[in-house]
Formats: sequence, structure tokens, C-alpha cells
Amino acid sequence: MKTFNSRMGLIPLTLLLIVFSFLKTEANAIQIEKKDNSAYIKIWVDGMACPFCAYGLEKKIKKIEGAGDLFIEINEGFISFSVPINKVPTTETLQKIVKEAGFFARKIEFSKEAFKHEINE
Amino acid sequence: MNRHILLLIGILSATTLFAQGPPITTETPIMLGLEGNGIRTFGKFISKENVNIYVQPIVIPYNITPKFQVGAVFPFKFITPENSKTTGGFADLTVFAKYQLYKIDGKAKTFRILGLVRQTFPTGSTSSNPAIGSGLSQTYVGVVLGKLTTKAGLYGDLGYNITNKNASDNFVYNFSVGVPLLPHKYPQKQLNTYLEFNGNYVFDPKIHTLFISPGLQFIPGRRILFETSLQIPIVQDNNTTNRTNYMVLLGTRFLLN
Repeated sequence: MKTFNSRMGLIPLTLLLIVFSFLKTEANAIQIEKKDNSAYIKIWVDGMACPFCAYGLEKKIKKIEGAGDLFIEINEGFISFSVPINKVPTTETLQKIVKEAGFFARKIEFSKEAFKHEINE
Repeated sequence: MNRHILLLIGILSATTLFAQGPPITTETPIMLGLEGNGIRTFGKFISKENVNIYVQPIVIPYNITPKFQVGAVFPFKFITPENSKTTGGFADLTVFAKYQLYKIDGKAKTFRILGLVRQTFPTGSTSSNPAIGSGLSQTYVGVVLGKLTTKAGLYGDLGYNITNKNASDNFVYNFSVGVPLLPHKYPQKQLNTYLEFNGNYVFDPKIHTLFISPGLQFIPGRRILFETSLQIPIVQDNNTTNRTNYMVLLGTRFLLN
């Protein structure tokens, strides 16, 4: 049992340090440009209505070997990314990844060209 | 009071609608998936007639499968009675499990129902004056449901809390409407408003309390959010001197890398 002041001071300070360490890693711009040795994948994801909930899916996609150019559009309900052309995951693998993130992969498109994104704001 | 409530509802209704984050004082039916582990904490200041209480829980959920989540709540509690010294320490530990019972997904929308079980252990000290812990084991069984679209989020949870010893059981219910104020893209800065209602009915003696809880949530990026909520009693029919004046919550949630 300790007094109010000693513990009250430590808890918010610790939390603030944690929070600011997370904030420092947030600034990532998404740029999509054509690469000769890349394939492009677009997954139409059902159930992705909460931007804060989409991070789990982003993390799983980023674990695909060589995945890059990640782009998520919540309003239109899709995620797109590039992979090296010789490391394109199967449809089943992608469906499993989306399911594990808590969503449903309604449709998966593969392309040799980068997808053009029209964002409705 | 009623005029202020109507004004708030009017402002929320007139706002352009977009998608948003999890509700603040209501359970969310959206679990974060296998890779979406996160931590939530908030400071809650409770002003009562004869005492002020500060609670700082740290909530750590973990997804075993996309449908099944377990977690623990580690609460720290500090109590300052009127004209008396503050006592504080670790309060009653809670463990919980959520299981997704039903889900229907569509393009940028989802409807989900979860089962929720919580077990609270009497880990908080009861030898201090005032006591930090309740001295009770409590088992909560309830459901959480929510419909989330790009236009708005509606959330609700209700459940029955069973207590041991001679303490009364109680029925808990919460409802939330979430309305984003900014257009959304990912990752994005979001500012969301919530209007929530938090009810509790104790059976013996019969005490019904209901709070209206307007809240704000700021999401500066993909992995962190900040939130605040003011909880004001609109029904509080207990005749004791233990009435709540108001509660203020200030918190954060962050997702682990």
C-alpha cells in the first residue's frame, strides 16, 4: 500500500513513454510504381469497416515474402500490394491470411500491372 | 441537463458519417485478428459525494484464433475519502474470454455477435480503509453485438454478473453510437465522436444507475488512438450517500508491431 502521489506519478509517465515510442514509427507514405519483376494483387475484403481493425491484416500481408506497395482502401473494401513475380502466393494462402485477420476475401485479382486506385473521400 | 443531451444528439445526427474506431465505454464485437494484438489503458476519475476514486486498468487481449480472444485486466485503484488520506494499490484482477458466435460481412460493413465471459478475482486488498478490492469473486456472462458500416457504428453489450458471498448480482447493459468527424483513408487521422449509455441494475437492494457518456476518440495513425469520455448519471435511484457525481475517462490503445 503506497500513497497516492508516488504511484500516480509513475503510471501516467510510463504510459506516455510507451505511447510516444509508438507515435515515432507512424509516418509511412504509400507510393505505388511499376516494377518489372513484380506482380500485383488486389484482395476485396468483406467486413473491413474499421480502419483501426485493419492493422492486423496489414501486418499479415507484410509477412508475405517480398510484399510491398501496400495500399488499403476501407470505403471500397480492398487491399492491394506487390510481390516478386516468382513469389506470388496462392489464392488459398491469401484467403487464409484474410480469414486469420478476422475478415473474408470475397475476390482476389492478380495483375502484372500496378492497380490504379480511385479513392472516394 | 435534458437540453444539453438533446443538443448533443442533434449535433451527432447532423454530422456527415464515416467509419470509426472501437467504442469507448461499451464492449466492441470487432476482435483484432491473430496478428492484431494490442494494449488498452485509461485513467478514470470518479467523483462521488464523499470520495474521489482514480482507476487505471491495463487491458491485454490475446487472440488464440480469429474467433476466440482471451485477456486480462490489471487494475490499479486509488481512493481518496473526503478529509482523509489516499490509499491505493492493485485492485481486483479480471480475466476474460470472447468468442465470436455470429458474423456477417459485406463490403465495408460487418455485423458481429460475441459471447463474453469475465471472471474477477478478489486480489485487491480489503484490509485497508477504504478497501481497494471488493473481496468478492464475480462471474459475468454476456453478449456483445455491433453493426459497423462506413456510415456509422452501433454497438451494444449486456450481461449478468454473479457475485459470491452475500453481495447482490447485477445486470449490466451498454449501448453506443459512433460517428466519425473526418473522411477516412488508411492510415489516417480520425476524429470520432461517441454517444454511449452505460447501465447497471443491482437486484438487492434494487438500485438502477444509468450514465450518458459522450466521448471523443482521436486516431493519429494506424497503431494508436487516444480517447476521452465524460460519464454523467441520468438515473441514479440509490438512497445512499454513495452517489456518483460524474466520471471522466482519458485513455489510449495501441497495437503491437
